[in-house]
Amino acid sequence: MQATSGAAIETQRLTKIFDGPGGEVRALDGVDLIIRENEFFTLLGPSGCGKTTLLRLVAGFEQPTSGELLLEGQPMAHRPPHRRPVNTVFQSYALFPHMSVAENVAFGLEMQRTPRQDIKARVERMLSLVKLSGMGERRPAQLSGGQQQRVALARALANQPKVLLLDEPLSALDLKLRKDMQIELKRLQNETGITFVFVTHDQEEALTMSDRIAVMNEGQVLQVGSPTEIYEHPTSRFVADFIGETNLLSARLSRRDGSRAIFDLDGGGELQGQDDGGHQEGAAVTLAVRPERAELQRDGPGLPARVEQLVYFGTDTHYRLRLGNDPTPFVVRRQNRSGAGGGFAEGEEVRLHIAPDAVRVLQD
Amino acid sequence: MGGGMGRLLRRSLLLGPALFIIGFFMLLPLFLMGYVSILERGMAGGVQWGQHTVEAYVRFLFERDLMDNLVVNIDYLRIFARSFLLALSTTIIALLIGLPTAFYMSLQPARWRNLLIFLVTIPFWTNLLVRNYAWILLLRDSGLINGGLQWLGLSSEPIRLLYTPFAVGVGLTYSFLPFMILPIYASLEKIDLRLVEAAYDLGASKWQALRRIVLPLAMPGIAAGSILVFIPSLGAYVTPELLGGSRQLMIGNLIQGQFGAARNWPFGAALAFVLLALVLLAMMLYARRYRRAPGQA
Amino acid sequence: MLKRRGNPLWRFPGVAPTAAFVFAYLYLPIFILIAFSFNENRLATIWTGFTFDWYSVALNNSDMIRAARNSLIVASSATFIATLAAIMAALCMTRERFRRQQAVNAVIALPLIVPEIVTAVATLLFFVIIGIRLGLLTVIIAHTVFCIPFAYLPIRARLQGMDPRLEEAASDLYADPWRTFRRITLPLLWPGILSGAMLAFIISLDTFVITYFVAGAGATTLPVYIFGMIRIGITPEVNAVSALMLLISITFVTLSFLVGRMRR
Repeated sequence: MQATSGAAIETQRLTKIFDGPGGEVRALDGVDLIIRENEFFTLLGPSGCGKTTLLRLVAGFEQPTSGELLLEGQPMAHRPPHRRPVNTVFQSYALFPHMSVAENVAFGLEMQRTPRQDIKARVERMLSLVKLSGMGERRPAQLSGGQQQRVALARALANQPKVLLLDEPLSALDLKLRKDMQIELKRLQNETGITFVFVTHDQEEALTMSDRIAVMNEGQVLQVGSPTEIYEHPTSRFVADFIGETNLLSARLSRRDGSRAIFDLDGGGELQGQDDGGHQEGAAVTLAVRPERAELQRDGPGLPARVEQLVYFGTDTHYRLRLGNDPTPFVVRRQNRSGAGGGFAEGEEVRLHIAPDAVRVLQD
Repeated sequence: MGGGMGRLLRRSLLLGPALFIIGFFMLLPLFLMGYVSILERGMAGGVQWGQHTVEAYVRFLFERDLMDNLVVNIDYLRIFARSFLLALSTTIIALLIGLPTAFYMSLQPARWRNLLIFLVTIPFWTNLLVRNYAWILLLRDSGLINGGLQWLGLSSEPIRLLYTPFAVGVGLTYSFLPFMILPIYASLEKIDLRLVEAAYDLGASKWQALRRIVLPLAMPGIAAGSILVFIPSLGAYVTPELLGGSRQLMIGNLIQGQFGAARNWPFGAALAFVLLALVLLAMMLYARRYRRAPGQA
Repeated sequence: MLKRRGNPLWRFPGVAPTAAFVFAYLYLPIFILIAFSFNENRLATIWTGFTFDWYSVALNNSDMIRAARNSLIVASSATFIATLAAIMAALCMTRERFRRQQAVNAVIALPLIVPEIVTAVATLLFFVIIGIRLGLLTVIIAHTVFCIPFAYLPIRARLQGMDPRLEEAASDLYADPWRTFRRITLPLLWPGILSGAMLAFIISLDTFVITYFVAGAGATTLPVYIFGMIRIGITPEVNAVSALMLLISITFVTLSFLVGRMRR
């Protein structure tokens, strides 16, 4: 197969099957993916979706069952990890406990037989890059979790890899530190210009940091796109549901009206959306509406609904509505602005207004 | 890294030495021993190759009188029964005193616990011979225990302690008690305290909690400990030799005798083979319930 | 766990006294033996005074010195071979998954399960039948077999406790398999190796029954020699030698215990 130019990593029908105690497990199922140079690329998905397996295949810790893996156009699938121009930041950091911080950072350079003088200079530069200057003589065990994280980053970046692989590196940190490190990682990526491949199950983390995101589930890549694309235009039920909160409505495409499509909701009522042209009239579809994109009004046009429960969240309030005879509640999020007033009470009959451009038609 | 062949080669190279040493110098000799047990005994010791007989196993229950008729002889059976009873009582006594000790250890603060484990381990690693010898000093007629009893005026004559089944029992228990305490401790230490508190909360008394929650959860340790004490007790040689004298023979001494004075290798091999079979049977019964080799306990 | 202490719910009558009895039972004979080794009186029943004489008598006994030297030769050779084999086996068993792994574990644990007297009989028959002359070599072979599981278990435990990501990290940082082993695995495994080797060493020094069977003339080890002395009678010299044996073992176990706990 042809390699794509400008791609840092390219996978072609990459498949990995593990022999588990209960038979074969398809961890990766024919993944085609292109990760561009210098981008911050995130693999996002629930645990067991194959994202870590994909990362380990790129690093070389696992061998693919079939398919090819290209690194800057070079086939890599069967090359051992120590001969691949990528470096990894491990979830547990995997700092060598019997070496000092400086020795840890120098390890990769030493293995590549970099001259001693250069190693020393590079180690110092790296430690200052991650704001750990002067900590070189300490042992990993003497550092806090956040500091260990920085050492792990410095150790990987010191080798100036083509691609840096990060396996849920922030999951062991507490919330405050995690927020700081998110910004820090983004800065490092900008400064070094290295391609980052970041694995996480945290959708918020993915949305804030990434240039592009690949959402994975059950060994397959479901959708690749920028954070806005993924959030605003999910193509599948899984993506819509996994990224942020979403109201999913079962409906039938009733008719078309210019660029508009009119849907009959299974629970009763009608909804207008943009026509994606992908469905026959009469076809069953799933519609996705973000809670913040729907509005509540006392009266006027819109679907009749009843407030079943309201949950106060500080910055905003979530209203759980009953819509016709749909058994699942429909959630609307309203910001609690000062002076906005007009809150609704539990049990109140309201009108739900959804703009056509807030309605997404899902592919499956 | 390589493919399947490379991995196979690597695996054989790494496992090879250990498996070769144990396989060639232990497993093979065990099979050989089984074979020797069905060979004809040599005239002046040794064996006659190619002459197969079950004489060694017959001898276990019968002897030949002057007319060459088989007569039942329960001497050897008696030694087996004595060994079995001694091993069983050793196991029971070790359990009776080992369980409370392990329980006590598991209730101590972490620092103390490690020290106590260490103290229990030390006797295990010290020389068995020397430890049994120490009991001679205590148990003999002019030993410390008799001296103490007489000094207290509790007895005027020395009480015969050494060279009795009692001495052998004390020595065996002393030799293998750590094997009982450590596995029980290991399983007790793992018990989640909250389970017992939940039992109290549900109205169980202390003894009920102990019997219904703690003991069942400690069962794997109790089973492992019992098997680890029973097996070496059954095959003991040193303790009955030193503390039992000539009258309290156990299987081990009987086997040794066949290679010493008696010069009856097939019979010695047969006895050892029966002992091995008994041990493997005990192990299998244990493994069927607990599915783990005691080596991993 | 700390909470349990002092909590009346956890106090059961008889538990603490039994534990006290058990620890006294375990240590009283050892202390008595050591005390008697310093007793001046030849009859060893009454205490007449403190002396080191019996130690010098023992240490000047040339037969005993020869036996001790044999023990050291056997123990160091057996420890060396057994530890090497154990390291290799443990590396394979912890780093790879394959069928029959349980069977391999069972074979390695075999010397722990089979009663010593049975092993002794089988080994003796084997050597005699294949025609190897009994001597130091046969003792070393028999001890090596017996020492492998003792060296194997601590080494395997250390490997199992080691984060496999560390080796991956090294290979990720351009270390080839050999350098990964030398720079990462070996330094981290070292306490386990030391601890396993020391246990193998004590086990070899202490093993009596097997040695008694397969040591021919001239290959008498210390335990075999002591056994011979005990059979002749109780003498203060035996006490001194036994006390020495105890001290050597206790020193080694303590060292092995401390090394095994080293975190590095």
